[in-house]
Amino acid sequence: MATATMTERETTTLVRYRKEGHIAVLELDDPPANTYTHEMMRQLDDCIVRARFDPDIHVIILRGAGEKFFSAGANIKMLNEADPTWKYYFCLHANETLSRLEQTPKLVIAALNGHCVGGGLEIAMAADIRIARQDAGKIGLPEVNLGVLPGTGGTQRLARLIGKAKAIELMVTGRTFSFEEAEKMGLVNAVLPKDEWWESVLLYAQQFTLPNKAAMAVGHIKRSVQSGLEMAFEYGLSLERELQSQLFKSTDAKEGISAYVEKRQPRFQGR
Amino acid sequence: MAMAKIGNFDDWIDLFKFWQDDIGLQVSELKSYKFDVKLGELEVPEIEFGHYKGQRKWPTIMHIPDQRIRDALQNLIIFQGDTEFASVEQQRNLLQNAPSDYDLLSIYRVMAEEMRHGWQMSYLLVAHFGDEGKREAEKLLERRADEHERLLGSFNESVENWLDFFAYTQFIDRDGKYQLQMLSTSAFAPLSRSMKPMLKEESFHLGTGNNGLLRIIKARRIPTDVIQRYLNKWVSTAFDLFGTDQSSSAQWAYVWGLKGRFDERTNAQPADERKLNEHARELYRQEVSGLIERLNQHIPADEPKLKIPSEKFNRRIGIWKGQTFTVDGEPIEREKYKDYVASVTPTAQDRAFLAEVFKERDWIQHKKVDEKEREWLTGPSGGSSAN
Repeated sequence: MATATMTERETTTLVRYRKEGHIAVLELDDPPANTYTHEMMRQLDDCIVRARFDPDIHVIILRGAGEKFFSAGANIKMLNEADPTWKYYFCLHANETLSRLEQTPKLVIAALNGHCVGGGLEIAMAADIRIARQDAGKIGLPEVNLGVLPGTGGTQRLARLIGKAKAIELMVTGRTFSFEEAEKMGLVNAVLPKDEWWESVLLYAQQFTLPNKAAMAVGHIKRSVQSGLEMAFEYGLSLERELQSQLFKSTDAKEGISAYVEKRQPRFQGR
Repeated sequence: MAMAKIGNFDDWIDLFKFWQDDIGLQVSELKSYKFDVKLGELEVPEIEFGHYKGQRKWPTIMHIPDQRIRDALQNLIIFQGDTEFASVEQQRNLLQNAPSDYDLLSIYRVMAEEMRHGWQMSYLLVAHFGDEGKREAEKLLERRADEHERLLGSFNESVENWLDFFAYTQFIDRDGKYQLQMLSTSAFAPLSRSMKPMLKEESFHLGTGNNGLLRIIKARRIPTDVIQRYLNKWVSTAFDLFGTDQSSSAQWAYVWGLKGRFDERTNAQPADERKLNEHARELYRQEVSGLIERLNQHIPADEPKLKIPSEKFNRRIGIWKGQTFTVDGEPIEREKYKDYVASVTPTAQDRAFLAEVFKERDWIQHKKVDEKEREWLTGPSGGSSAN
């Protein structure tokens, strides 16, 4: 049973939460490979909710601790010790956690500081944008090699991101590949040089925070895409209209137009 | 926009070699020059002015928070790159009739470094601006000065002889110094880092122009009034290069931190964002006035002195555009203006006179090539560093 392991881990911080200005940094921290357990998922869930409720947070960055791994996925030892029913609820909770991340109307960036495989990639795919560190590791969904499938949303999200045919090929072969190849197929948005990589990721994220960008508009765009794509087209359009209607009433929309007329950059307030 | 033919910078280099052949650069010394991308240290890591002042400079375009800023930045790089290749097209016909080995070496160096500057701008476009940047880097090699296709007026003018060349490097390359200096404080780190090596190289070009005019004056074979007409030709178009008055695009480039004032790091006064081009043009005018005064010190007292033409004369951009003024800034009737301009800019008689004078060796004070200058061409410390 996995219960004993969980109890020991309940006292350990497995997801570190810190604020960098208007950015919440969620760091998966379980050496050596930042594999996730149920406890880590629960802590991740708590951190997501915490960032959601904090009006001062506009962007969430997920990263792994250290330099070698973003996350190597689910903790195999834990899975090996658990019974099928426990594993089912473990997967269900992980799905709910990642859906919560996906539905949070704040931009989520997965900063891939190192290897990002299996469940690690499944977590990263629930983010809106993925930025990798050059030559930092491999990426892929090799679960088939263990006789299972990518069961934390992997089969669904990978196919939505890169298309059915390529997604199936990658998952049935279990091939892991470079971040550069992932960038070419659209799975990773950008690969940044390893020197000053983290500073570069933070700088990139800062552009989506106040006062640089209208944070509410950024959040609504994300929500319109993430939620709208899962609906019938006309319902997606309806969601888009409703979100736009809220933005039309915002102070930030007025500021955007005023600034343009006055030849200055807008100073958004998130209202 | 048409699809880019090139996939990476190596592909662009192939196009560059084709361009060299196409414009007739057959000189072996130029073709053996090893081109290189040079990035200096980031002297100031934070954005130095404008809305984003104090934030870290942007290392890539994905860090730039507004598409309008990315577009404006790309345009600045395109315009800079266009001038670099244009100047080589304008000067290439002078390689066959250099007055001395020293001058031949100087023009080699000027042309090679202008091409390197174009290379540098093309690299930024290819490396940072995706397919659109690649296509624009191609177009830098497709437009031709001879066909009047270059983006700025000065760079479609012809450089016909060596007096033209010295006036060009003195006044047009000096404008280049201003543009490079203004970009050296850019919020886009790769552009800012490109400028210091370029400015260092550009200073040789300005020196070539100033020194060449001085040597001509000292030789006393070409009358001052002929030299004056070449000054009138280039200074008026150099004023145009600073852009329109009360320019919106200059204001936005400042607000966005892309292009500062020439004296940005030393000027404690807040910028007048509505008059940025005027400010740069006035600094340039003052610098050129001083240089002309120094040249005048070598003209005998009983001969006419050189003077800087008025900012109002022969302008094609700005508030004086299309208006009719003399070189002294006095109004002149429109019906007389065309003939007047023809009389105060290089004439057919000037060209004929110069063609005869250039057959002799004594129209310019001669200067020997020293070892330091020769070393530039053969390496290791100069521009011919390994690619």
